[in-house]
Amino acid sequence: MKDLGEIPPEAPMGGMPKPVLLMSAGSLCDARYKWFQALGRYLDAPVWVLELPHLGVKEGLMEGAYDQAIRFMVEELREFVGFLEKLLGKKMDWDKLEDISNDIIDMNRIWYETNELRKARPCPMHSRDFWTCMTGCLYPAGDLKALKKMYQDLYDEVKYRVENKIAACPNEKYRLVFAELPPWHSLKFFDRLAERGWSFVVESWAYHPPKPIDLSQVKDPLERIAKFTYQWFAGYFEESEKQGEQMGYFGYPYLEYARDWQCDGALLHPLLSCRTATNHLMYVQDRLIQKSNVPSLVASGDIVDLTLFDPEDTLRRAEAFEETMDHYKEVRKKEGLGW
Amino acid sequence: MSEKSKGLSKVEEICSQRSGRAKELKDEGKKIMGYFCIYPPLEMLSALDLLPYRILGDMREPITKADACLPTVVCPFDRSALDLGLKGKYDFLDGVVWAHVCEVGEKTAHVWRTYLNPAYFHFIDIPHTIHKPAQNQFVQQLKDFQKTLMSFTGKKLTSEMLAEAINAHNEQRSLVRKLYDLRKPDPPLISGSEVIKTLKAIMSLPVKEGSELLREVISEVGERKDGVPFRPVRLLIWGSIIDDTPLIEMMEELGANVVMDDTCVGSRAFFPDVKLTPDPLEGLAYRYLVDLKCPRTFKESTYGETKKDYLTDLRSRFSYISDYAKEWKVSGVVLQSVRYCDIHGYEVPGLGDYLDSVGLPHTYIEHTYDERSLAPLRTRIQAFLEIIRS
Repeated sequence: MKDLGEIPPEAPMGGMPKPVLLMSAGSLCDARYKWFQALGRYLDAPVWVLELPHLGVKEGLMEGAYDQAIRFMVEELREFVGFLEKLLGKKMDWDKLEDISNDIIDMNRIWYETNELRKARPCPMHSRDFWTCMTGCLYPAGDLKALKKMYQDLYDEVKYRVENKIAACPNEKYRLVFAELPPWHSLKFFDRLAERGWSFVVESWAYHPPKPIDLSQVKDPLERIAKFTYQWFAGYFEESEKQGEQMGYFGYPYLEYARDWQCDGALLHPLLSCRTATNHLMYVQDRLIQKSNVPSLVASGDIVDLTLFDPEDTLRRAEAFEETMDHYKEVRKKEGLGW
Repeated sequence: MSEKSKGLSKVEEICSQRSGRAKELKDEGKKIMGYFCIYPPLEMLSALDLLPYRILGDMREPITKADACLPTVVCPFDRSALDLGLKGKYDFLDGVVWAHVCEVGEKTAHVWRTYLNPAYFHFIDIPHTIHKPAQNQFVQQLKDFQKTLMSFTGKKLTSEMLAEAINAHNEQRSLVRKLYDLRKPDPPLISGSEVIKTLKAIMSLPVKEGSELLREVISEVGERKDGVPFRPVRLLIWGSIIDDTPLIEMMEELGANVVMDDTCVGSRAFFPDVKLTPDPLEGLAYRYLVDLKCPRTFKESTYGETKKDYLTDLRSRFSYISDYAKEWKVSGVVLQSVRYCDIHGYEVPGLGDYLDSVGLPHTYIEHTYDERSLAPLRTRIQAFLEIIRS
């Protein structure tokens, strides 16, 4: 774009307009803010890095740590509002922010409850539908009222399917958890596994909505946003700490998923070019088998270099993995794990 | 450790058995605190009479244990350090302090804590910006760190104790800067390999002992008549961690003296001092968050700027490197990184543009933190040196 001096004419959907701001966060992955900083080579848009603390499990639970984290986030958000007002030359519409933040929080609650319904046997909604629907909550844009209605309709549909025992995957034989980023380029792969009776009932923690908390008494919309966001990050910490697990996010949620969604196995998808989606997966594999007797199949790939994912080989390995899942089903039964 | 050895021979001795002195001190009752990367404030450890011991990897030892808990496509240095931990080579540590230095480093912290379960472990969540609220948050983080340290040691950590430790570490930093001054002559009085070994040695000793060793090395090297041979190219090496000598030795063999660095077993870890502030934690927070120059922290030329000018941004982030280049009379810059290091990798195009703008030749190499991966780089370094010489 910089070389041409304009958006490339052949760009899909007319291309992405030149941004006035690049906003990133110092959370989850380094690439988020380093990439935008590096984009300075091509764009003269300012970069704002929003802070989001993510303490280790124990430190996040120290006395006063939560309140301090929220204070920090609120201060950061206030700085950001000041910056936006300067950049855009207009004042924040606080009523609108109030409305938007409430819609987002509510939308996430509905989406959370929808995913809770997937605990049912047979599972009413497959991972493929999850990946199609998660963007509205994760990257809320456009008409939020319409989006919220879409999530409510989705909830109603999934509930109907639960009540009528309509399975997302006919002949659900194996229930699985998937982590982390799916092979976007090969989503059909999931259909082929579904033909074998593999039902992906829950998936990647970072793409799931936070466990709902009551924020109705929080008056300041910035504080509400801060608490909502922190909950997304730290909502599993307390339980994780009780279980003696040291990775309260990225790691521990999979133990909870495996138990509550009654998974027979996990499909882990390390990516060569994404550290965030990868660096905890061996840990997850180990914790799942050690603590829950849930085995994992590791299928490496990438979402940049498509040649790294081999669906045919993974399908061949999947066949053998079924025996492993059968074996551990027996082990769990003997140990009284409940599924 | 031998009573007689001094200066560089003592450095060699320490590097050949890096944990030796720490284990001796442990036998005498001192507690040894491992720390990872350059962000945990060492002053807080020294003030409580703990020995800060830097956790490093070993590029000469194959990774055999860490594969089970860290994938092969993440930082090979982190994997190596964890591998050593899993093999019991850090079992002498009484505790570990880790900081959120980068994303893989942060995950490695949790993995370390799970599998090695040290008696004391504290994780400091370093902010990613230098915004004022981030600086305040970091002070709060240090207060939490102070609490767990006091609980672990059973001692009170007062401002006076901290101030004393800050002075001791600042003195050591001043000595390191003096050591680096010895690299300014042509040929330098001390080689790049000797500097790395010296810094690695002092990262394994109590601060005052490390400073004493530095004094010995500075004195010995200052009197040298034929220390380092003249080589036609003077290099500055930038990037992710270099904690062993093969890469530097390769450059030296090919006809370059490595006279300056911007790496974390190097100037990056030692150059900035801590300012003494009424609340010493504020001075510590400022030094470790704002003054340290690792690309893991997002910095911009002007806080809250609404229009970005690329070159101004680059100057604000990298002009210290051209200052180094002038002061140490550098003729070329080697940008190097361990593979899969996002924070350094993203920095390379911009830094390359900056070096172009100030007319400094540069090249970029990537390796997997093992000796094997260096051999193919030999030709590239050779070609780079030829370009500079021509």
